[in-house]
Parts: sequence; C-alpha cells; structure tokens
Amino acid sequence: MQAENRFRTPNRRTFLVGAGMGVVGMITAAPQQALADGPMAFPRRVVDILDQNVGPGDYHFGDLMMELPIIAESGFSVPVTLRVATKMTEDDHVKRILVFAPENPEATVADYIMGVRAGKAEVSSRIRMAKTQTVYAVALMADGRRWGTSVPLSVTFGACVEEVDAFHAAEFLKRQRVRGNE
Amino acid sequence: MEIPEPRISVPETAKKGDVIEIRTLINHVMHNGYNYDRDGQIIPRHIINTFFVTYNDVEVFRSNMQPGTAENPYVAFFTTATETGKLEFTWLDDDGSVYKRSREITVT
Repeated sequence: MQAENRFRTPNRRTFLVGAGMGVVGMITAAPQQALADGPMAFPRRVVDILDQNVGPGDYHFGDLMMELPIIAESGFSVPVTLRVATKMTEDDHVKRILVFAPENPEATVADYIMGVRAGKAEVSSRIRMAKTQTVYAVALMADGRRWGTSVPLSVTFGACVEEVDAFHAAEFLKRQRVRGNE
Repeated sequence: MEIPEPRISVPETAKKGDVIEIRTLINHVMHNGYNYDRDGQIIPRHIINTFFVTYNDVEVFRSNMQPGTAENPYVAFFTTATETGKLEFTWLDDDGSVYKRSREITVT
C-alpha cells in the first residue's frame, strides 16, 4: 500500500508530502511564532458553539496537535488523536479539548475534560464524518490560554447516509479490499 | 440490543508517579438520530452520552460523547499512578442505563 505522511507548520502553513505507511496528518508548532500569527479563524457554526459553551476569546495555532488520516475511506469511524504539548503541572495543564466537524449535522464531535491528574495531555478516539471537510480542535488551558488547530480531511463515504447507501458502501469497500489483496 | 460489555485495558501494577495509558471500548450502536433504516424511517438517537473515570473516587477523565462519536466508542487516555486503589469506569446511556466496571491497580 502506498501511503503519505503530511506535516504542516502553522506559522508557514506549508504542506510537505512524503512517503510512508502511516497515513497521518500532523501539526507541529512553535508557540511564539504562532502567537505572532494572529488568532485562528473558525467557521460561523464553530464560533457560535465556542461562544456559547466556552465564552468568546481568541485561539492560536501552537501547542495543540491533531492527528487524522488524510483520507478516511469510511466516515463512520475516523481515528483521531489529540495531543497538547504541556507537562500537565498545576500551573500549566489542559482542562478541556473539543473537536468540531462543521459539516456534520451536529458540529461538536468530541468533548474531553481532563486535569492535572492526566499526566499526559493525549486522547485518542474514533469519530464520525458526514463528508469531506476541515476538522477543527481547540484546547483550553488552566491559565486561560486557548490553542486551536485544523486539519483537512477527505471522506470517501460519509456517515450520514441511508442504511441502503451504507450497505452499498460497505459492499463497495469489501470489493475494494478483495481487489487490494489480489 | 445486546448488552454492552466494556473492554478496559489498565496495567495491573505501576510505579508511583508513572503515567499510564488506559484504553476503553464499549460495544454500542450509537444511533446518531440522522440515519434512515431500509423503510425510510429515521432511526431515533440512542447513544452513550457520557463516559467518566474515577481513581479512588476522584474524577480523572470525562468525555461528553456526541452523536459524532463512532459506534462502539473507543477512548484512550492517560493518568498518573498515584496510589494503590480502584479505577471506576462509568458509561451513561441515553436510555437511562448505567454501565459500570472497575479495575484494581497496585502502585509501588
């Protein structure tokens, strides 16, 4: 299987496409430069949810990293890993991480609450994607800092389809796999 | 619907101060309320809406699960091994069911 690795530095917003097995999009960051970059822009739906649930404020590219595949062959289950570069000390730890898919019927797809007891600011889960879109994530720090990030994601089959379509999709994917094994 | 049987991975022993990974998976249909069945009827929402973990009665992790969570929700996270005791895992279902499991951990 031919796969790609993707890295993006938020200050330069460049894409580097290489070869490798892990189909993973990653965002790395230099916090000071990221702060100089100005606040992140979110789609209207995400801004509304953030204003309502978290309160208004600016989010910067920086310490939050989100790992997603470049292409999700099924939107029913997309692996996601969120990581914040912090030592999780009393003064400097993550309180909450939220993930948004603005093109989904419900834009909020994940909401994790953690604290200083976590030891390591990392969560992995699997989410649903209705269609190809840019996925957004934010991390709220104990000292009030707010980190944000975004990763574009291609979805071959979305999760919000009729069961009949889902059935055909599953059959199609099965055939694809069989072909791949030949 | 089959009764969910959670699967939990926690190390049995750890050194004090170690950061340990905890992985959990519970089988659940997680109907998001937007899909249609073969008769064209909407399948009503039925998800696990909350998952939280306590370590000797102190909450260490919580996930407010959304319809956007994939079926058979899998969550992996970390916690610091502070003392010997019990980790309790709780899942709250939309239908009012509560699924609880616990794991013992020995901290040396």
